[in-house]
Amino acid sequence: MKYLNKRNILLIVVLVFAFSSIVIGAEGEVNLYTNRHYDTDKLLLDKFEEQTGIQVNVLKGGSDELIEKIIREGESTSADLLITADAGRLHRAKTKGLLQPVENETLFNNIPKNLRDTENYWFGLTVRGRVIVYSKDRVDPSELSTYGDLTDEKWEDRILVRSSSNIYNQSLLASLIAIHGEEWATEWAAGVVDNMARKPQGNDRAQATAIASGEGDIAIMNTYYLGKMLNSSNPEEVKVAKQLEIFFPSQETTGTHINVSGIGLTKYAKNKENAIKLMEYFSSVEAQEMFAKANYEYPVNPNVEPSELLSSWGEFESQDINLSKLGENNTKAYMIFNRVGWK
Amino acid sequence: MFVTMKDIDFYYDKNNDTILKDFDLNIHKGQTLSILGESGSGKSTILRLLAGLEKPEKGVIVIGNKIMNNENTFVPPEKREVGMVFQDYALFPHMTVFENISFGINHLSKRKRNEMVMETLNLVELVDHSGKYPHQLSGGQQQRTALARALVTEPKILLLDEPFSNLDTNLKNNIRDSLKEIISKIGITTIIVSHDKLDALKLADQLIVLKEGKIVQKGNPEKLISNPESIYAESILL
Amino acid sequence: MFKKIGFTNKWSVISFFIIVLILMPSIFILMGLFNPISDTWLHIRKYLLKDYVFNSAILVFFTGLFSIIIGVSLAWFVNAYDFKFSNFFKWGLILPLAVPPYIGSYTYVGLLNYTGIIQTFLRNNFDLVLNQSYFDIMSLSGAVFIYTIFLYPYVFLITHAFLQKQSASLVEVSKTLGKSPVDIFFRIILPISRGAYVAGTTLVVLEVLNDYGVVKYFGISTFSTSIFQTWFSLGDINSAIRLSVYLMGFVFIVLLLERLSRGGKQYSYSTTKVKPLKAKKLSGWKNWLMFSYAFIVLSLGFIIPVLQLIYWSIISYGKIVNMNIIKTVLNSIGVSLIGAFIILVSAVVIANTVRIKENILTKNYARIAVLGYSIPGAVIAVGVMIFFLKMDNGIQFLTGQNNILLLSSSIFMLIFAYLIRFLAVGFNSVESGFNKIGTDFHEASRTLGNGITKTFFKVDLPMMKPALMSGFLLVSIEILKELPLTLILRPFNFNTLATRAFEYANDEMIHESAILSLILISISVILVYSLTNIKRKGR
Repeated sequence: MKYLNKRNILLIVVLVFAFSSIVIGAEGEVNLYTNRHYDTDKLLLDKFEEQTGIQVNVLKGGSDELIEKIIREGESTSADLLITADAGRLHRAKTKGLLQPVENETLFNNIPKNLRDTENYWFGLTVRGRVIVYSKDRVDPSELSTYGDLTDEKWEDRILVRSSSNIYNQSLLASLIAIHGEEWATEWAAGVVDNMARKPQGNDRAQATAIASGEGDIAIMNTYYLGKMLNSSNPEEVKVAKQLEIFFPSQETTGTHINVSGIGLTKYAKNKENAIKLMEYFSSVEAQEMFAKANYEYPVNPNVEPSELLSSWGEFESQDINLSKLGENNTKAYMIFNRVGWK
Repeated sequence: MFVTMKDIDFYYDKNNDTILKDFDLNIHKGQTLSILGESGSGKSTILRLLAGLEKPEKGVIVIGNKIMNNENTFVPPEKREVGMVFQDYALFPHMTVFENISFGINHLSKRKRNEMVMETLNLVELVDHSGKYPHQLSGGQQQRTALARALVTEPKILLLDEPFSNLDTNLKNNIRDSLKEIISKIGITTIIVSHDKLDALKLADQLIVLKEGKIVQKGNPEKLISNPESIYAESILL
Repeated sequence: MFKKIGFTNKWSVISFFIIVLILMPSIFILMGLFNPISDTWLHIRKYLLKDYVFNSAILVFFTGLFSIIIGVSLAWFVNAYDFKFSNFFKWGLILPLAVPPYIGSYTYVGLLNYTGIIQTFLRNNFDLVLNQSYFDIMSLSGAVFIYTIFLYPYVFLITHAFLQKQSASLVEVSKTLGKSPVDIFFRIILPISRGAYVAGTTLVVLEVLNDYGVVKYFGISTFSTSIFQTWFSLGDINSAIRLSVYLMGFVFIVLLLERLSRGGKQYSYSTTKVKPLKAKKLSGWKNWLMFSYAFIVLSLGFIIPVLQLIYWSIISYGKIVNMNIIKTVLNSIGVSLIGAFIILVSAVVIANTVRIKENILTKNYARIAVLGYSIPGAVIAVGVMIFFLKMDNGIQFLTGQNNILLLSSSIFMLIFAYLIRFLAVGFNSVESGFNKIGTDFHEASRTLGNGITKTFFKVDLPMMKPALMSGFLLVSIEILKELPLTLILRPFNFNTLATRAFEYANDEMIHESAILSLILISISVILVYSLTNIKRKGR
């Protein structure tokens, strides 16, 4: 260890500092906390930087972790913008006082009212539905109707759904609490548990696959997963996806549950102007196309057509509730799941 | 007196046995003292206390008119100018014989250093082996390297901890003689700890027999060996 | 041994400083215990706690048991017998350590599920559609399989090293007493290597309790996942802290059992002159049997997952856009090396202080230094974040500059968390290095007129080089694979191979994560190989 003399140790210390200065974001610019991690997002940000000269610093993480971080950082937070893949989380950020309202005509024009916060604390960027996917062979679409119908005994041992620790299930139940009340929601959750084909396991894709393998006949899942499977690099997965069909539940009644990924300006944003520019850019036709396409989601901007695949699924009515409810009822939903034993 | 230990108390752990209690020891300049005793009698501890590798609970240690330990003073080992040869020699395995020996004097100029190391190598007759590593040496050569390393710093006293325990009997006699020769040549005050009475007989001017941290008998080695005063002393000196 | 030697205070001052720093986050955590009990906690206790305890206990017990069976038997076989490729297996069987269990779990799910290669093959060639429960790996028993096959090398590594040094004369004496190989294994080898495999199993168990990736993916509720969920999803940090304390209690029981099982027995020779056991040459069916066993384990733990990842990388190659792979690789390597360096330096400073100045205070230093390994990453993340924000508040107060997060937005927060989490790994290596060289050389140098610091640099450090290098590599591997801390505490624009592989896989883009996983595994393999090389030379 003759290399370990004082001079070399000093050198290493200097290197440590140099290394860390690379990863500390430079001042100015705009700082984005996001839980999207699609490669195409990076291309989008590069374009934005090119057009405006504003550098975007990105911190990726789970939505909950990022919110917790902003809370902890308080007034001196380095986050200017927060993107999460769930409206409930944005609502939580709002109620915790992490966000500020944005009054901006461009955003108002690009994003319909029902897809943004009532007080404009956050704005949806992409939309997905939580739908029923069924086996073309074994299920006649006329059997399917509403979310509530899933507790009917004809579905015994036929329903596939992932675990309740997943936010999409929590938000679905939260929306049902908002529409039908807690008691109804508890009975519904218990009824679904009774009809499950197997103990909840795996992700949404795994539910679709389990239909193909015959473990169950219908699955509750997000629209974009089917898109992903149809475009998978694994030909077997494409085969599986082709055996399946999408059904938008509760069309005649309360509408299909939707959720958004969305963006909010933090209360203590240091680069407010730049941040709003980035929000505007995200809602623009150019960005929306790419943004939605990256994850097979519906764009929020009405001037942008959904991709061919999504158009082929047809239009649908969504639940007529403010998406903030998803956040308000999240804890209730979580506890109901635990009580009825939805693992 | 050249080396004095007075009223020394020492233990490793308050609750366990005391190793030394009110221990006194005096050595004249140039004398060679041998300490004999069974293992656990505290004889190695005396060397470690003199070297500053242990700190006594109380008592005074003086080496060559300099107070090494009392109530307010504790001189750390690197400042004591003692030379110590460890039982297993503790030769640095990553250094050659030459580097091992020059290790203690590398604050000196290179020229001076080389000069002193060569001189010492001559003394211990290891000039031909100076470039070897410890594991390439025989047991006797290792011991002489350790001795040279201790002596080259020109210490005030030389401490030898069981210097022959790792050598076989034939070798022992030869080495004992050459050690005797080296010590008397430079006239250094020396303390040898061992459990072999022959070491004392051959090398020492003065002998003490140690039992449970106390001196049970002391005096001229030859007289002492012919006249043990206790069964313990007899068993040690037999 | 050096009790009470007076010495310059430099070392103890720096050690004290490091120890206090390390303790701060835990103190903030424990303070959370004094907060009032929330409704959420009552809910957790009523509906969920039982599951957490049950699942964690099952995972720990069976993973521990199977790791011992596989680890000890393989360690003994490669030591005692000379069979096909047995020399390769001596280090090859450590390779599964290079695969982070969560990546392993993705590959196995991908391999075994309906669209995976096995079922596809059966279906398309033989029209065979088997009961899906045969292939169900996303379950408790599946998790036990994943943990065992990727973590058993801890047991193998330590037991193998132990047997190499300890077994020869005992085995020979047993042979002269007419004992059969089976007898020797069960009556001699198993008992004497107990300390070694228990130590290895303890590492396995702590890894299992800390793991977040596998159980999150499989949807199994354990302490680790529930701490994250309670903290983040329910936003109830106090309940998360309470769960953490439960988990710490669980860890404490495990460590206590380990200590009790040792029962003060030390099965090791005092003499250093032990000749290695001569491996017995096997031929015929025995040769093949031995080879097959080792090969199957290695295949399950390394070859199969890696082949699957290579296949995925190939089919997704064209789809990958702008992955910035080079930067991610540099980040991973950079943070691993810097983290490992800082950890090793801290470990050396503390270990040297403990060694030289042994008193009640420094004895506890050693305990505190190794504490972090038994604290789950989730808990460390909470504490470190609170601690750094407090320090930033202090800086803002002192400089009058509001709105700047100097420390908590920097990479130091993450590296500091690594320090707490992995100091134990570095410290154990350094400590064993110090034990190996003993105190004689240090003392000899001191009597030759060199102070502690000079002695340290001239004598102690050069002699400990192998121990330091293996500590450095071990810590590097750990940091490279680390997930939860990096996910939560990293600064802006900072991605590592581990976080990106996890993000992709978590977004159900397994094919895209494959290439990152492969790079991560390759780097780990290089580190593991260097590690075994050091160990081999060390002999």
